[in-house]
Formats: sequence, structure tokens, C-alpha cells
Amino acid sequence: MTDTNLTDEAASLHEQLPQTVDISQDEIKEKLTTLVEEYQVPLNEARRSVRNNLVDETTADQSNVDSQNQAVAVEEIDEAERWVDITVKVVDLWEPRSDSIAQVGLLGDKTGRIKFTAWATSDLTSLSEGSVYRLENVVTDEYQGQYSVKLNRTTTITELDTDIEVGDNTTDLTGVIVDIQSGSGLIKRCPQDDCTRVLQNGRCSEHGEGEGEFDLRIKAVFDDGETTQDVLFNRETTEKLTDLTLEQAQEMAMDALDTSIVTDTIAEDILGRYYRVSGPIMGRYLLANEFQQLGQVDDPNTVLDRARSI
Amino acid sequence: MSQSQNDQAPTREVAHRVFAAEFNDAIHTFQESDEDRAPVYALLPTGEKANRVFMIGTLTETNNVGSDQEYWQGRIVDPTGTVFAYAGQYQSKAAAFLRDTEPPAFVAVVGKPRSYETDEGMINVSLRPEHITAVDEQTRNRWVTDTATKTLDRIEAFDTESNPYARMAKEQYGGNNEQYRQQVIESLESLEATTEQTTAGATQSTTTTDDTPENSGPDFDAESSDTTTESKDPDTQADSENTDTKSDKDGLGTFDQEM
Repeated sequence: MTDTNLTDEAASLHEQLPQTVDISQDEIKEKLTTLVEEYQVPLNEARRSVRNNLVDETTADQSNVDSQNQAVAVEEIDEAERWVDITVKVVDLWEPRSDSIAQVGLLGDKTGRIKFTAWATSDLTSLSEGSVYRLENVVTDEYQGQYSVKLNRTTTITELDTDIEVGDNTTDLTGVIVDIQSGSGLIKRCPQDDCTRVLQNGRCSEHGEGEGEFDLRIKAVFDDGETTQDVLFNRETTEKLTDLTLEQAQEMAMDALDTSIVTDTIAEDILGRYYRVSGPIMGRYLLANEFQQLGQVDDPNTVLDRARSI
Repeated sequence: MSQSQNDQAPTREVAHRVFAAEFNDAIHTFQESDEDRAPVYALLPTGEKANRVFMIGTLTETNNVGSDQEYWQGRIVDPTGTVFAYAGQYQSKAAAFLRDTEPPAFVAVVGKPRSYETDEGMINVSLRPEHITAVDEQTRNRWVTDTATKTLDRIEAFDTESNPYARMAKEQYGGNNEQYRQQVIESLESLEATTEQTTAGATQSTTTTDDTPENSGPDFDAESSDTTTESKDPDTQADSENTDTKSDKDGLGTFDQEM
């Protein structure tokens, strides 16, 4: 973690805090530095912890007056059935699939994006795309590891006359690829419009037998020695990662009369190597937007000094 | 990094970074649940449980030690010592790799520690590979620094009250980590020596980048954390009574669930 990184983090955190919190950016940076450098807390966790501590300190007083919901950042929403307040911009509105849904779409703040649903029965004012709102009394929900918020009858909607920059949930991680999951390599997808399901034995679970269209992807397990994270490489990033194009992969599979040769070749190429990868986390997977293979550490002396000083 | 992992999802066992010498000393194994397929852990002397490890070293020798069926042994050497990897019919890709690879070669292994008792009643620890791949020297060197960092992390956390595996390690092995600290130092020193020789000679890697904008280690805080590493009883060889060696029940044994 570089010093500049921490400075940036402190600045962004400082901006996000409610004005009632009286703390300087430098003090925030100091707290972050202690957690990250001294206690080796991952940056995400450090940011959360600093923010929560600060917000707790200041809201403790208010909570005597009125038990309010916690105002949270989108990134902090990590359990279902919590009543929270959020300040967000409407990033995207989707077509509701059912009459019972008034609006559905994507909200975002600096820390990330989250799906929202407003029920028709709740009789709420409509949100418009691109506008910023303070939403009080929304309830969180979870489906297959993805969180969302639901607006309801008790939700108050206040339009704010500001703009906020919406973060893209990008996570950076450095680790070793220790495994490649099944379903990696050369796959076939259902060719039906709006269906991207992967065919299993030539069948789509929705549309039945079909020719299928070839695609290339890797579901890799990253391991940094502390935790693991599943990372999904799409065709584009897979081609870059492996120097193997979809066409070459198809030829290879045709020559061998077997698609598993593609997976095996990819495995030989990437297992056991160190990479830095970044992208948004969606459910189980970090979707790799960018990656870089890592060579040796430039200056092992810092570790050597540490070893000598223990 | 694993925010997306739900509590109900079986979490994958982390691949611990450990040098050969410490790996070979990890003769005590244990389970944390009575369930059939509960993972078997090797207890690392620096106070961590390991059901999976990640090691990189030089493959110096391969032998087919099987009788009826192929059973490949690989000697893998790192700056601190040698580990033996064994791959048979249930690790067919790893076995094929050992059969086809001409030593010497840098190899990365993700695998499971397995211990067994020799005829003389000694307990040996070996590595059962899940994956072996050939890697370049830069990757190998990065592993040395990575493993050094992780070993120091464990040594520094050893005297934390809330560290159950350190407590277990003290009981099983005596709790003197000085040799592991020395091995870290020697490994890093060997790295300095080799990188000086080889920085000019380009490695064969195509994608390896030279610029590593930031160090991999989470911190390089050189504070001495006052670890009083008094040797309590240096020769507490784990006596075979309380060393459970039944870990290798069968070739298929104890995979943790792979999601």
C-alpha cells in the first residue's frame, strides 16, 4: 500500500463523512495507516472500520434523541433486512418485469452501486435517472450474495440539488491463481436472443438443444495466502491473459476432438503465477477488467530488515 | 477480499506459504470436526493450520517409485530444504507432469500436506499436488519474498493470546521459532545473491512485468515486536503418541468442498 493511495483514500473518506463528524483528513489517514500498515488490515476493511468508528462516535449522541437508522454507504450494505438511510444517485432505470413493481434500477454512491426496487403498492414519487436523492427508511435484501434495497411505504424521498460521482465497486487484489474451476476454457452459449446460458452437454436449461456459440472464459481461484477470491475472466481478458484467441482455441479443440485441451493449456499457462487483478465484485466473482502478471519483488530488503529486527 | 463469500458457502482452504524446512517439521496433524470429510490440517510450527499449501522450488529429481502402477516422486528444493511430492493415479495430471518434466525446472505446486510414519517410527511430511506447473525464475523469486513475509507474519502473531494454533504449536513443538526466522533471513539473502546474477540475463517469460509498482507484502513495518522467544524446551520432539498420523486414509480422502 503506497502512501499516495492512503492519502487518496483518506480524502475520499473525509468527503463521504457526514458533516457532523469533526475530523481532519490527516487524522483519518493516520487511522488508516495504523490499520493497514501496522495491523495489516486490508484497505477495504480499514476504510469500513474507520468510517464506522467515526460515525458511531458522532451518532451516539443523536441516538439518544431519536433512534434513527444508520446512514450507510452502498459498499457497507452487507446483510439483509436492515433498515438504513442512503444518499445516492439514480444510475440506471430498468423496465419493471411485473406490474407489482413501480420502479427498478441501479443506485450508486462513491463506494459502489446497488439494485433498488420500489413496489407499486408503496405509492412513492418516482425517481428520475441522473438525480440524487436522500432515501430514508429503505430495507436491505440479499439474493445469491448480491445485495439490494427496497423502497417501501415508509420511505421518505428527498431530492438533493447536488451531483455525486458513482464508484464502480472496483476491487484490486494480488494473489496466485491456485485453481481453475470447471466451466473454464472453451464453452458454448445458448444462441437465443437475451440468453447467454452456458450449454451443458449441448443443452440450454431454458431453450433445450441448440447449436451454441463458442466463447472463452476462465473462472480462476485467486489466493493471497490469507483468503481466496473467485475471479472471472471474460473472452477479452482471457485472450489477453493466455495469448490464445477464441479462433485458436476452437482449432485446438477441433484438432484434439476435445475441448478440455484448451483448459489444460490455459492451466499450464496461468496456475501458480502471481497476478494483480482489478474489477468489480458481483456475487461470487470479481470480474477481471484489468490484470498484470507480477515478477519478482524489486526490493526484498525491506522484508529482510523486518526479519532481522524481530 | 472475500466479501462475497457467504457464511453458508463452504469456504475454500487457503494455500499457506511455507518454506520446505518448516513444512517438513509440520508433523502434527489434526481435525476440527468429527464429520466424515472434515479437512485434516497440518500444524505449522509457526502457529497456523494448513490443509493446503503453495510452494515454489526447483524440481531436481523425479522417480517412478510405484510398483504396479505409476507413482511419481518429485524432489522440490527451496532455499531452506527439500520437500517430496508424490503423485499417483488420483493426481494423474501432476503425475504426468513429473513423468514428462526434465529436471532441473522451477515448479509451482498447490497441494495438500500429507504425513506418514516410516518403518523406523519417524513421521515424514510430504506434499500431494493438486496442481504442478512450470514457472519462471521471477515467479519463484516472488514466492520466496511472499513466503518470507507470511512466515514473519506468523512468527510475529505467535505470542498473541488469541492464537489457538500458536498455543497448539507450543505444546507440540516447543514454540521456538528462531530457526524459522533464520531461514527467512537466509532465503532472502540467497535471493539477493541470485537476482544480482540474473537481472541481466533475461528470463524466458513473455508476460512477466519488471515493474512492480508496489511491494506485494502488506506491510514492511520493521518494528521489533518484542517477541521473547525463549526456548522453553528445544527438544520437544512431538512424541508419536499424540501425533495423529492417520491423515492419509485413502487416496481420495479429505478434499474440502470445492464449491
